Amino acid sequence: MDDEDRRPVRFLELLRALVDGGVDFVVVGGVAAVLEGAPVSTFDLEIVYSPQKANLARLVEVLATLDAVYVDPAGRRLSPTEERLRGGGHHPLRTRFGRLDVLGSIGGVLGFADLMPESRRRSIQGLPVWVLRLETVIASKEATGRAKDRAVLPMLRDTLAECGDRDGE
Amino acid sequence: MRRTTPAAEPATERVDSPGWEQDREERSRLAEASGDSELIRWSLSLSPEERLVVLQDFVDAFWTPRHG
Repeated sequence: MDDEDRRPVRFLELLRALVDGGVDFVVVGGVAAVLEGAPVSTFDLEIVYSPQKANLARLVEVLATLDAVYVDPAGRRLSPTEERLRGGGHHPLRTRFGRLDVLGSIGGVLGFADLMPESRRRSIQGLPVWVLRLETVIASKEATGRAKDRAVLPMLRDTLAECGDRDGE
Repeated sequence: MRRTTPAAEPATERVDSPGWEQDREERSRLAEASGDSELIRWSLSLSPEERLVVLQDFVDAFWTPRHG
């Protein structure tokens, strides 16, 4: 593990870089759950990006300013490119503001266009950020079947039940 | 969890009885659920910005002793 792996994630700085860079994205995963009101923890920011060509260019530009490289057990320094991002999939990156997971879709099927209607616009320190609704966060974690996702599901479901028809704010 | 045959039970429960163990587990489960509910209500009382600050504080507190 090198020094870059030791950097704790800075959520706000990552969001600011993406918003200021004009990237179209939706916050998903643990941070979405937190923003929706669930008292859970996570150590990375996960986003799903729009695959539009112009957006890919903006995303790559922002990732370059963040010194983003792929998390690679072999220690190679591979940078994200438009070509790599165009293929969708999962792009686990480390940046100068910590871990950022850039996703073409969740569950391999739900892309940006599918998730936008399932998201709501939040204002975080004045930054307009689209955040996946808790119901869909739960559905996505149910779909993965991963142990770490299953472990957090009871808390997410309890939070949703407590929300009732409130909007979580 | 209440057992259904109180007349057959001693006035003071034995701590090693199966019933006591079931009660203890139930109390533990209820206490945990109650704690979760309070935590959830507290989290929902915060703004999204505040929730992110709490998460960031947690990450920083977790990280510093291990990597600082």
